[in-house]
Amino acid sequence: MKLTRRSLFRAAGGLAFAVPWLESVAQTVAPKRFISLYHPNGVHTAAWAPTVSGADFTFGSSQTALAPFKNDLMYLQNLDLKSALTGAGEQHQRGLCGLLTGRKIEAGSFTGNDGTTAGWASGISLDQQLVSIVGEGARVASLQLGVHAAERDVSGCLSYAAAATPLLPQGDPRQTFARLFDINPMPNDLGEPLRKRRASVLDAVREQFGFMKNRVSASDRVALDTHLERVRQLELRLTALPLPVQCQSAPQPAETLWETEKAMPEVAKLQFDLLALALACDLTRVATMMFSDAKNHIALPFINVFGDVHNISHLSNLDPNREDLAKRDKWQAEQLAYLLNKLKTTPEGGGNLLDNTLVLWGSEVAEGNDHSHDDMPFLVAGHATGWQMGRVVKTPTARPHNDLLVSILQGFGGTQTTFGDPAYVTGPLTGL
Amino acid sequence: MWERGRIVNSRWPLIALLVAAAGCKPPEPAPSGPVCAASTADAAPFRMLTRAELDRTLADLVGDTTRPAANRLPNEPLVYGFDNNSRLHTANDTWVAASFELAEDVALRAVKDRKATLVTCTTFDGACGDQFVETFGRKAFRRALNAEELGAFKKFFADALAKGGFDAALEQTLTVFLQSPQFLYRPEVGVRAIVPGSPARLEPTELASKLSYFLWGTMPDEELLAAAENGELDTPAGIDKQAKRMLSSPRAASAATDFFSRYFTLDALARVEKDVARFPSWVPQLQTSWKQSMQLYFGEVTKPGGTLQGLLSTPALYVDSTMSMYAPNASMEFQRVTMTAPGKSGVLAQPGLLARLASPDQGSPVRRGVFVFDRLLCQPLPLPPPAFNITPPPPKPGATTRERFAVHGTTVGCTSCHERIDPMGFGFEHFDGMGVYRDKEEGKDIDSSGAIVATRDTELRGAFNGVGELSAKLSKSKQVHDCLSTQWYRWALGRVEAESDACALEKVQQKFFDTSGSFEELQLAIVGSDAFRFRSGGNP
Repeated sequence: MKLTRRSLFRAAGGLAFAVPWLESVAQTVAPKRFISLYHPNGVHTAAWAPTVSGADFTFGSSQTALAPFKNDLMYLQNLDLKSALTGAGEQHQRGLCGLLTGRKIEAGSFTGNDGTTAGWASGISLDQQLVSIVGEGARVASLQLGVHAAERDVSGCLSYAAAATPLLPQGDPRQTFARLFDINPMPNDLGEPLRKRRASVLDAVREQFGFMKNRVSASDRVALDTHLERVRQLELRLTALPLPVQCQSAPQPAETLWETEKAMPEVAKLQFDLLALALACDLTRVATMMFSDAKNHIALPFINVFGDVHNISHLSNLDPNREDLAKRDKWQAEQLAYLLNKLKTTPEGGGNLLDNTLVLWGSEVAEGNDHSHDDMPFLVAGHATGWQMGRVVKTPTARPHNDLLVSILQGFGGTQTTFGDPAYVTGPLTGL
Repeated sequence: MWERGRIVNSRWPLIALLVAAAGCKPPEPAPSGPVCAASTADAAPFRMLTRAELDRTLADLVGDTTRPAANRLPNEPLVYGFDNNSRLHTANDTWVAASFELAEDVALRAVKDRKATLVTCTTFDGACGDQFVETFGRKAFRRALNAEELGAFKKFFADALAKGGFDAALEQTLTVFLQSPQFLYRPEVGVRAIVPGSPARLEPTELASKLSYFLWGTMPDEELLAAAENGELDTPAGIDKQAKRMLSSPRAASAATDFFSRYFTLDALARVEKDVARFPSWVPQLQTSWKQSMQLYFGEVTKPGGTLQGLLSTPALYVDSTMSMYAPNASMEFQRVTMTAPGKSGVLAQPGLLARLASPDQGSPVRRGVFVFDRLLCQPLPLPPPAFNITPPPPKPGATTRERFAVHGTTVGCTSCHERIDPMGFGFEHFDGMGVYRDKEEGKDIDSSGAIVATRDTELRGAFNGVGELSAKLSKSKQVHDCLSTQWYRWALGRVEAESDACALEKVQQKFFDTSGSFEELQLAIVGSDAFRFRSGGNP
């Protein structure tokens, strides 16, 4: 048997996993959560776009799985991903990079696929900015999850801790599990001595950082300080009071062929289940999830899409094979519906988890065949920001999508009036 | 920003650019060109161990061979396929939390299973703890601990001993060592420069670590560490002597295999899937076998005496029973099969590579041609224009791949790039979408004639037939030598070259070319370069 803290804890404590959806977890004032979902290559607009009829709307044909959540979601129209129009990298890379950062790719260290030199995003992403607003006290600052998201470069990264500081998604649900539960504070019988030991170990580690800092250059000292700050936060989390027993552990997911296309539905479900558990138990409050990479060259055999999705997205609107993209969109909508259902059926306080969550769903281009960044497909769901859901909101004039990012920040209590590259901010959206 | 721009694509111009560090003498300035000048760029940020480096180090340091870092720590971002970029591989929240857990697990296992290798005393007391801190600390930090470090560790051990006994103290002290920045990072502080701001020579133990992680992918052995402490690394000759010793060890081929595994993106093989309707022999187990097969190939061509020509033309294929479609009668275990024709030999004939550079249902002259330009020539090509239909022509009864892809030659907008890509890629036509060698396609004889078009190296240009002739041409090209040496230089230094590297890099490239593409000479040239031995920008 592999000897780990967790297995020791299990052997000693013998605690069985219980359904964690407990009122006791909920605090007097529930924390707010933010989730962003991403899928590549834009959408099949005709099947995706809602049809507006008066105050009501009809879902696009690829979106019907979301019908049960009509009053929990809102489509946003006329938002342009302005930061992606120019700069280093190619259209997909720029779009993905700007999606949550509202910034360009910095000119950098490797060749983008258009032959120009590209680096990484030039600033922090919205999810990471929100960690500093709503994430304080959560044991896992944020999660970056992936479903067949494998590119370890600018085409495969949605979250940034800072400029050129990518946070790559984790694609193996077992690793997600480890992230959530391996360093969880132990129950009281084992926990107190262990917490003290860990605190003394980390104190000693911090002392060593101090010795090293005195020797190195100014720029290296910044890197050490960043690392040290994370050690300090880890110490705070490890020495926090233990979670309720029901949240201390969960069954470890079975091994999956998580790098394969056919496993995507299974992996998505496991990742969503772990995410919902983490939110319900307040292990984390911020997460992003990437469904494969920008400009992915993969097939989706589980929905009978055997062509390369990126290549399909290039087909003209008149090409019958482009319908495969609508099939993909339908599957993506079903994934979102699964998550929304999970959140909505998890009680919290007098309501449910979706009441205290905002989900942002988007892609890096509007449509794959023209690669435009105008009128991007955006959907938000959940009630954490108190917006009036159940609508299609079309801004009277085209607005940069940075305005949406600012609105979300403010919706979560942020005082910022700008986010990302200020050149693409005109102000928060009104009437949400 | 120390990455000042991309210079690998410029064939080293006649003019000298900037000088990397002290000692790298610029050529006589050309009357019309700029002169070399000392750089003030901070080109030596310290480097955090990668997962691969950590796992090898933990095996050497505490005998832990479970690859805990690969299993636990998050993926490193890649730059040109390399996972060791010092600017990007940093400790984020996930990394710090996972490395804490890793340290606890490794320490727990080490004390439980291998206590006798950690401490040699007979009485487990405070004195034994002091001894452990000194001897183990020197290995873990890859240098002797200084007074304040020693004091802190001894005190920590003594306190833990008083509280919980010897084994607990040993385990906790080990946990602290494994999370200390002196263990996790490789600093390059350097010896204080006489002139502030001028390049500083690395401290001998810093250089020993740099040598060891480059040539072996792990911590220094006792001989190298002792050589550093005895001042033997203070001269280029001393460095050369140790480097030659290290290159003769099997560990060097293992580290070079790591380099080529990244260069040829072997991790992506785990995601190569085939349409079984088209390729009934495809099974998911091939993903693992392809990778192992290529690692074994790299292991062979990076042994002492390895060359660029060997990489491109060694007639070897390693197959296990999963790979029986590539060689009949393959056994359960991997075996080396000698290929009989140049057209089936070399790295460009390896099944894993060819299967990756293909579509699920057919081979791809485009991906294969682009790969040669991008990875072997360092001459990347642009993407197709955004609004183009880029779906490859589907397989059609009676039509060969070459016939179907001819559409590029007649479609407005495609020609300008594909007239370069396709002639290169058509040279691979003997290999189908699985990388299986074929003499016929759709009943017609294979035509694997190709051409190298518009490369910067004008001598490389011209017609060829099949992978054998292509590989022979590539292995003589200065552009290919320069490309490979640039990649190896990036790998060695954990960063992309800056303008200030021009002088050092040009020397490395020339050495590689002049020694007929010798991998050992290339690595010796890199470790002997000023960029390797000095840090620019001085020290604090």
